[in-house]
Amino acid sequence: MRHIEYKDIDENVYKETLDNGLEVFIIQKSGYNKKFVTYTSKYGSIDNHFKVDGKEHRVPDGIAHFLEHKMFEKEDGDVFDLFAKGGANANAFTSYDRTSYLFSTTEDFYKNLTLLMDMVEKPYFTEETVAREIGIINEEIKMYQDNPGYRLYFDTIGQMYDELPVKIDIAGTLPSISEITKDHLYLCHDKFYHPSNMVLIMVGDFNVEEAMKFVKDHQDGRGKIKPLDVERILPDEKRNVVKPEHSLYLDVAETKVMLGFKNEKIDSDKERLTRDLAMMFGLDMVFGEQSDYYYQMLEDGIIDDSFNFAHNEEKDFAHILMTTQTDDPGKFTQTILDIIEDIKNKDIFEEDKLINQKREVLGDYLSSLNSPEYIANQYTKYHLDGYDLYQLPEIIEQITVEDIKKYIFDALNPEYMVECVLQPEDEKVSTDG
Amino acid sequence: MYNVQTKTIDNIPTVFIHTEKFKTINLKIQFRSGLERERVSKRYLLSRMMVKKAGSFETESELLKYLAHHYGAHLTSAVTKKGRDHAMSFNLEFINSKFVKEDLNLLKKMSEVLKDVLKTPFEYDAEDTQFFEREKRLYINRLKGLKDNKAQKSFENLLNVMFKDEPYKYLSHGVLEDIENITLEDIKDEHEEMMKNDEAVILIAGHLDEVTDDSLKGLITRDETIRLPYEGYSFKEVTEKEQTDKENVEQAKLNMGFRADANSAEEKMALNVANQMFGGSATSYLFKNIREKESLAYQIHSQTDIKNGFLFVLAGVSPDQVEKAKSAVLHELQRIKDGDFTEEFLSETKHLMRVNRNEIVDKPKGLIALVYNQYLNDSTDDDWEQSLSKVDHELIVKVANQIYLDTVYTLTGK
Repeated sequence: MRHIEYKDIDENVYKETLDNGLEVFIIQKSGYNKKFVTYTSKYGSIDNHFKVDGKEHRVPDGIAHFLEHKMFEKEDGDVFDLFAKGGANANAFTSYDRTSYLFSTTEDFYKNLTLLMDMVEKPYFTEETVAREIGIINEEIKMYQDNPGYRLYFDTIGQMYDELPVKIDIAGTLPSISEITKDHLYLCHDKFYHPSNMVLIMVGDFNVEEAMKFVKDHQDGRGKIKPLDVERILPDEKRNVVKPEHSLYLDVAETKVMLGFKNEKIDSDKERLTRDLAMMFGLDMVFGEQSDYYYQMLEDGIIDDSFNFAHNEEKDFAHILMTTQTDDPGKFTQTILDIIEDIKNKDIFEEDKLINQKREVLGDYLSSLNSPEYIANQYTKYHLDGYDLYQLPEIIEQITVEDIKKYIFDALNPEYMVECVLQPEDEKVSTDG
Repeated sequence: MYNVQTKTIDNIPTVFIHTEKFKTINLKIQFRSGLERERVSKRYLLSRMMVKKAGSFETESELLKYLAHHYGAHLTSAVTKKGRDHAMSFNLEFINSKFVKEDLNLLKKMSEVLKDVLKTPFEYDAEDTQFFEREKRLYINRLKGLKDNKAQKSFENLLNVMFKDEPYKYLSHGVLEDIENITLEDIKDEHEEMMKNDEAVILIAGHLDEVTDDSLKGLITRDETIRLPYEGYSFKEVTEKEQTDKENVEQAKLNMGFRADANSAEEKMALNVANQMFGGSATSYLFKNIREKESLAYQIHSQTDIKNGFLFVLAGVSPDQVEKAKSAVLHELQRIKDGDFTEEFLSETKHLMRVNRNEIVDKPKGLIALVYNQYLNDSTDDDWEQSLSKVDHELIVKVANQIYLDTVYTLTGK
């Protein structure tokens, strides 16, 4: 077991990779009542096409999320009940590249930890339980269909990506989930819930030796597990967007617009993190609440305080999204394009701004470390992306104004932009009429 | 692992919550006064303006830059309903100076910022008209945007039907129709009223070794301490109401409102436990039976306002299943009323409530909220535990039988 002490931020991490390939991290938080655990598979909605022993498999969209739901159900009942009996709150979530199972408790920790590990490691599916789940997930899909922000997001992504399954709703669609069988679930579980494809992170006030030994004994008890033999197949995605302009109509009162700027993905872990941070600082200098452009747009009524922007840097894709509620989406888009032109001729990326931003980000980062949930989730995310959450302050320190300039102009290239407008249905009627 | 000490500084009750586990210090001031339609929208607008323009900072951007320079200190405002009252708070969260390699004197500076935040509206004048009009416009947009969230909208509609003639129907963030007529003079008056007559409490949480009384002096100064009664509404007989509206939605939003006649601390705690068993957790009857067994809803839960004795069920169901879901909800409540639950389920529920309470204090904001509630209720951890331990099968059944359906509101597809 390796102990890493991060003196500047007063954090301690203990790490071990077990014989079966499972990576285990214990993050010590003295004085906390709560112990929070996440058990994560590097398996998400994007993994719908893969090869096992030379044989190609295409599985229905939404299966990772479906599997997440079904893992809680076992032959002798629902594991939620067992967590509750043990005084723990359990949950799970699926994203495009991972599935996490989690619980928190202040007592009976090992009992609940065993429950979590057993639940994730021992599947139980029948045709009957699979059929019942379709109804529940279909209601979940419909719930999101009534959420304008969610619809706008997926419509924008859908116009940006041609091949990459990131454009697929994580929960799938009613037709796609209706195709799921118990055999699909067993196959995906067997291939993607392999210990060497998983990470266990425990955050709280622990007896570290004892906790690590407990996990180790449990994992040794699983016997020998065949090495992982699965190969993911991801389609090639060009930078060109599918359709640069798109409208959708919903029963809403307010118009919303989202702009998406598609980028090339970066394979090098180090460079990817650098671009991610440089873009965060760069976009903030241009569009953030401390910028002149932001205030001008606010004063001119082009945006309101729903205006939001983010750079999304992932292993398989990268893009910027910007959104606002507005009366005049065309004017919003034109203003953003004008700003993009304007910054090419102005020296707005300045050293003193960057220093101030770094201080701000460091403060935000430290306050986030009050939260065991944040630590477990972000530690997992950074780890899967090839980084260490606790080394972030050092990397942030190294970002320069030159890094920002290197990436931002290319990232905001209008040639790879999508504009998606969500409008009230009655406006469609009046336009059509 | 925290200790609480209450002092009075400038006649303002000031609660020190010392704990070493957080990397930040939270300094919060809580205001509270009666919830009234005439005031609620002005108070919300005021709270937003106060965190954007403060002291000598010419612009909001200058203020934000100053906070960023001080390691991303966060200045936020919040509003909420508490009992019969409207509560408004201002919070500054900043990092513990041990993580900073320079001597910034963060506490002193942040306390100065908060002082400025509280005083600035006294100085609003004609030059602030543009700022005021902009904030008004943003406020209107924000509330309009909220109405596009169908779940939120349908819950608001339920409140409007259920509390037609009662102030509880007003949300803490005010009434859209009232915003346009607010003047800058109204805002100044409301601010003066708040500073003079609201109950005010300061709370500070974190590693407080270096925090002196002096550093918190002068935030507000009063001649005497104001302590307002903290009460819920008294129980009102129900008249069953039902309303359905139609819009283009994929999923119907079924909302049910109940009134409970629970008065003593034990009865209120029993209502809390009954709610957990009925629909407040992942092992509750609503979740297990309506979602898991019958696949009638993905989302279904119940929530209570214990202080006021209100209970709400919120569900997203297929439009053709609304009636079935409604009967199923009432059936599950009837089971609790009939005592159709095991001792084991009751004790597990109580156990989980204890665990959740222990977890709350691991979050700075949760810890402050808990301590503030204890201040308002003049209660302690022991009181909470004692009330909970008195909740048994019999008391749950008694209180459950004092829960009455008042309103069913459904927003469904066309």
